[in-house]
Amino acid sequence: MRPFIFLILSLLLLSISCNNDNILTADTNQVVVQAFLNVGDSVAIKVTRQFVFDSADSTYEPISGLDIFISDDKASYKLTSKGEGKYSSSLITKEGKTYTLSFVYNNKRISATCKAPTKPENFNSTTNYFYIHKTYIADSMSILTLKWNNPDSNYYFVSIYFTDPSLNPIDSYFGSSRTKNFEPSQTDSLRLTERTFRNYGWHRIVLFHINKEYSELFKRYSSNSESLTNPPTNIMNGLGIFTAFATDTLWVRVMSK
Amino acid sequence: MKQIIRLIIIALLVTSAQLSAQIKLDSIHISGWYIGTMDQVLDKIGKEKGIVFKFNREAAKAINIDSPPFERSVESFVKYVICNGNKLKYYINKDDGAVYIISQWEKLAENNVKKAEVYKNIISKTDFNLSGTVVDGDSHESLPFVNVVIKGTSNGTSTNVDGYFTLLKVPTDTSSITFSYIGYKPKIVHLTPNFPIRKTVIELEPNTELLSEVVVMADKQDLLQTNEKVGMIKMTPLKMNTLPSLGEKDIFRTFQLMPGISAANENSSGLYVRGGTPDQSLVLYDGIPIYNVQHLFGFFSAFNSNAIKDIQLYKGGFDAKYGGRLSSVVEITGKDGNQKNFSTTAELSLMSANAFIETPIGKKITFLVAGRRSWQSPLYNLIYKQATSQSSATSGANNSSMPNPLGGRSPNTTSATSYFYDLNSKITYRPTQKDIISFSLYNGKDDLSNDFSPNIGGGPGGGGFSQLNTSNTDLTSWGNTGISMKWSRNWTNRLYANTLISYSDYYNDRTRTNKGHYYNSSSTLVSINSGSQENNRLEDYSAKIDLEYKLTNNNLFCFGLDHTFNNVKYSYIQNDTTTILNKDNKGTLSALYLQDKITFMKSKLEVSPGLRANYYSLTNQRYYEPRLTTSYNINKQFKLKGSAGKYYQFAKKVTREDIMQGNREFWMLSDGSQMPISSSVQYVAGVAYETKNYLFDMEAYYKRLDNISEYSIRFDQQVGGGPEMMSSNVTTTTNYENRFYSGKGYSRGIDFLLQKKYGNYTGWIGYTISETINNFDAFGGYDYYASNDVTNEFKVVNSFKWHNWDFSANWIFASGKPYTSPEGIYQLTLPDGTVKQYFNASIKNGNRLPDYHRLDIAATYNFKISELYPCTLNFSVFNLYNRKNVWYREFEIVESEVVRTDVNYLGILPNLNFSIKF
Repeated sequence: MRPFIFLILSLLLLSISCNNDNILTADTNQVVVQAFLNVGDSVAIKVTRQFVFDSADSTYEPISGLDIFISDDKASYKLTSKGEGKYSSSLITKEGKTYTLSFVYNNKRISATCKAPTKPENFNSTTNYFYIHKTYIADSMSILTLKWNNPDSNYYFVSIYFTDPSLNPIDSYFGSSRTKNFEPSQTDSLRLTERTFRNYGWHRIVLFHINKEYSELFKRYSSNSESLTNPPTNIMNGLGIFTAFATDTLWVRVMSK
Repeated sequence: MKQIIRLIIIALLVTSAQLSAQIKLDSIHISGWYIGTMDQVLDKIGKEKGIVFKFNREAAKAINIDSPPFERSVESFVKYVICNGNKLKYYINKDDGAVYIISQWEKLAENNVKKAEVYKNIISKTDFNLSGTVVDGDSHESLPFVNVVIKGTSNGTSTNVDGYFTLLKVPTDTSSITFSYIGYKPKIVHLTPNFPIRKTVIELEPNTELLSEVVVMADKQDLLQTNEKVGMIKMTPLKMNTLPSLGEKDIFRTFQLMPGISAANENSSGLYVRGGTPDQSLVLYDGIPIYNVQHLFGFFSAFNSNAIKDIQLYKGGFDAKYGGRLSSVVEITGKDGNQKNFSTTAELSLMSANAFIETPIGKKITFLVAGRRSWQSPLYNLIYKQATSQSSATSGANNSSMPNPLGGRSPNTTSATSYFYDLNSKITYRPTQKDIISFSLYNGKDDLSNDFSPNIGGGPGGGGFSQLNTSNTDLTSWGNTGISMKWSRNWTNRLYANTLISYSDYYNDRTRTNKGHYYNSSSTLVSINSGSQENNRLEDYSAKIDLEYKLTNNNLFCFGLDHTFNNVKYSYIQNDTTTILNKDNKGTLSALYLQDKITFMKSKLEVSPGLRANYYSLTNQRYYEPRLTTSYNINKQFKLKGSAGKYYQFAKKVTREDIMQGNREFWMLSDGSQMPISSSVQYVAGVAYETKNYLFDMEAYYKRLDNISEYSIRFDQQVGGGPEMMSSNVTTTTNYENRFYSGKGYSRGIDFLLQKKYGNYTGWIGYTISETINNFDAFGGYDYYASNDVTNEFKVVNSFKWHNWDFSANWIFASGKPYTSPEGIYQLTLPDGTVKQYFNASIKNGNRLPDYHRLDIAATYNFKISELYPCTLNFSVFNLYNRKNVWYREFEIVESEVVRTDVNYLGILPNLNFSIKF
C-alpha cells in the first residue's frame, strides 16, 4: 500500500512539474530576404539561405520555387520565380502604400511589412559645377550644399556616382573610386567638400528616401570578440530586409582649374 | 616525487608490520564438528579455546549451526559460519578482549549501552531543564547542530552553532538522552540524580577511528545527511576524504554530488542550486559573507576542509535569519581549535600542500591556523601537456578539403594553469562558561594564467587566410579576505545571543591581450592586436545580532538585526582606451527578522513562519520577505515537507555576455534603476520515505525569478564605422552604460534521491529533471534556456568499506548546457550598389554542448604509524575514461571566417594524497 501511495504522489508531482513550453532553440536553416522596392519600379526580390558555419555549405545557396506573395492595400500578387533565388512581379511600387510579403519556408511562415516612402521633394544643389585645383590640397571647406524637404525627420541618404566612361583622378594619392556613399540621417541638407570628389567629370547625385529598417543596415557590425551583434532585420522568422525607397537625382560637374 | 613514493613505501611497510601484530583470531584453529544453536556452538568454542563471546542469547537460540569437521581458524569460522548469511557482524572489544557478535545494523553505541548501568533508584527531580555543550571527545571542539532527543519521546532539540543546547521539560532525572551527529557515534546518556543539569559537557566520539582488521562496525556511515529539514543537506568534512577527488578534498564538490546541485561545472566549484547561479547562494564562513568561493578557474572551492567543522546547505526555503540571496544558503562553521592538546596535520597531494595546527593557549584560549598552497607537480604537467596537444573530440564539420566561400576552419584547444593559496585562522576565547569570543580570518588568492598560442592552417577555399599565428595572454588574479569578531553569550537557559561584526573584501582583476598575424589570400601580412582589462572589487562591512529565545520545548523564537554596507567597483576597458564601464556604488542594507519554530501534534507537525524586513539605501525602499517552512511526519517512515518564501538580492553578479570568448561575470550593486533589485518566489514540496537503511527522498520545486540582470553590448548596434557620416549632429559616442538588461525567468524541477545509509556499502543515486528559462525583453522577448540549464542530471555515488580500505566510485551524467554561437553569415546587395555582409548569432543559448559525463574512482588506506599517528593514503583517478567534456566554445572571426576553439575540461587525472596527524 505504502509504495503505491508513494508512486501516486511521485506521479502527481511529476505531472505538476512537467509540461511543454514554447522555448526557442537554434535553427540554422534561416532564409535571407533581399527586397528593396523602388517606388515607380516593378517588384524584384532575392531569397537565399544564410551560410551556416560548421556546415557543408559552400555558397549563399539561393532558394527558388517558393510561393511568394506581395499584397498591397487592395490585392495580393504572386511573384514569379526566375531561378537563382530571384523573383519578380509586374506590380509597380507606389509611394505611400503599405506592402506585405509572405511565404512559407521550412514549415515556417516568413513575413514582413513596409510602407513605400514618398519621392524626395525639392532636392537641389547650391551649384551644378565647380573647379578643383589639380594639386588637390585636401580642403575641407564646403563647395556645395544639397538640400531637400524633410519636415517629419525621415531617413535620407546620398550616393554619388562618377559617370564618365574613363577615370580622371584629381589626385592619385587619394584614389579614384567611382562611388561615394553617405550614411543615412534624419536631416534635410548635406554639405559636400572637395574631398568628396575623386575624379574630374560628371557625377550623378542620388538622394534616397528610405525607411528606418533600411537605415538600420548601415549600423556598425562589430566582429570583435564579445560584441558580435545581431544584424537588424524586419523579417519575421527570417533574416534580411523587406523595404521600399524612393529617389531623386541631380548632376554636378567637377572641372579642372 | 621520489620522496613521496619513498614515504609511501615506508608507510606501507610499517603498517603491514602493525597488522600482523594485531591478528588474534586467525592464529587460533578449530577442527571439531559444531552442530546446534548458535549460542551452544559459541559457548562450546569459547570453552575449548578460552575465547569470550558476547551476543544476544535470545536471538542466537533461533539460529542453527551445522559446521562439518575440518580445520580452520576461529576468524574464518566466525566470519563465514556465524556472521555471513545470518546478517551478523563481529568485532573485538579493545577493553575486555571479548568477541562481540552483533546484528548487522545494530548501532555499536547501542550495543555498548546494553552494558551500561541504568540507574534504577528513586527519582528526585521531574520536569526540569537540562543545558550544556556537546563537544568532540578528542579535541573538545564544540559541535554545532547535534540532535539531542529524550529517548522514547519526541521531545528534542539541537545544539546551536556554538554547541550549546537546552532541553526543556526533561520528565525525570533518570531519563536517557540520545546525542547524534553525522560523522560521530551516537551517544546515549543515562541521567542520574547527581548528573549536572547545567553546563554539562557531552563528548562524542568521531566515527573515523581506525578499525582493527577484524572490527567491522555497523555504525552510521553517512557522509551527508538530508531529510532533516526541507531542502537541507548537512555535512561534516570528517568522512569526505574517502570520496574521489580532483586533488583536493572539497566541500562544494561533495555537495555537487547531491541532486539539485549541478555537478557538470568543473570550472565552478560554486553552487548551481536548482537553476540558481553561484552568486545567488549566500556563503557564510563563520558569519563572514564570502564572495569568492573558488580557486583555479573554479576547479576547487576556496575552503580548506581541514579548518571546517560543519556545513549546512539549504537548497531553498531557508530561514528568515538569512537574506540577500535568491537561491540558497551555505553556512560554514570553522573549527575553534583543540582545547586539550597541541595537534597538527600535514597533507600532501599532487595539487597542493596543506598544513593545519591547533592548540590550546592556557585554559581559556584556543588557536587554529590552516593553510594550503597549490604546486605544479610533474604529473600535473604531464597531464596538462596531454590536454593541450590533443584536438577536440567535437571538431567542426568543415575541413580544409571542403570548398566553401569562407575558407576552411578547424577547432583548436586550450587549457588552464595557475596557482592558489588560502589561509584560515581563528582564536577563540572563553572568558566564562557562558561566553565565547572568537576572531576569525580568511584569506585566499589566485594568480592565473590561461595563455595559449593556436596555429591554424587555413584551407584553400576562396577568400581564406592561411597560417594564423596568435599569442593570447590572459592573466587573472582574484582573492577574498574576510575578518570577523563574534561574541556569543548564553544569557539564560532560554536566551542565546550572537553578535558579529565582519569585513569581507573581494577583488577580481583580468587582463587579456591577443597579438598575432596572418597572411590573407593575397599573401599580405595582417596584424591582430586586441585586448581588455577588467577590475572588480567588492567590500562588505556587516554587523549583526541573532537572538534565540526558547519559549517552550515546542516553540523556539528567533529574531535579529543585520546591517551591511557594501562598496562595489567595476571597470572594464577595451583596447587600452575605450572605457566600457566604470562603476562605483555604495549602499547599505538594514534588515530585521522574526521567526518562530513551533511543533504540534507530539512533534509530528512542525511549522516555522518568519518575516524578514529590509531597508535598502540606494532605493530608499522597504522590502518584505515572508517565509514559511513546514514538515509533517505521517509515521516513522513517511514525511511530507514544504516551504514557500520570497527572497530579494541586492548585490549580484552580472553576466557579461561574450559569445566568442565565453561569458564573464562581475559583482555589482543594484541601484534600483539600471540594475533593479532581483527577487524570487519559491515553492518546494517533498516527500521522504526513510527506513533504518534506506532513504528515498523527492522534492519538487518552482522558483520564479524577477529582475535578473545581464550585461551585453550585442543588442544595441551603433551607427558608425561605415561610410562617412552625413551630419555632425549624429552622435558617435557609445553609451555602454545602457547595456544592462533585466529580465525574468523561472526554474522548476524534481530532485530524487535514493540513499543507502548504513553498512559497509553505502551511497546514493541522485537524479534531477529540471528546466531553467529566462526571458529578456531586450533580447527579443522570447523564452530561452538559461546558461545554467541542465535537463537531466544523474549521479551515482558508491562507497565501500573493506577492512582498512575505503573504495569509492562516482559517475556523473548531465545533459549538455546551452550556449550561443555565431551561426552564419549572409550578404545583401543594396540599391546603391554596396554589398554588406552580416554575421548572425544563433538564438540566445539556442545550441547545446555535448552531454557531460565522467567516472571518478578512489581507494583510501587508513593506518597508523607506530600506533600513534593516524595516516591516510588516498589514490584517486578523476575522469577515469578520459572523457573530453567541453567547458565552453570560443569563436574568432578573422577575414569572414569563424575559428572555433573548444575549451575542454580536464581529461584523466590521477592523484595521490597523503595525510598524517600528529
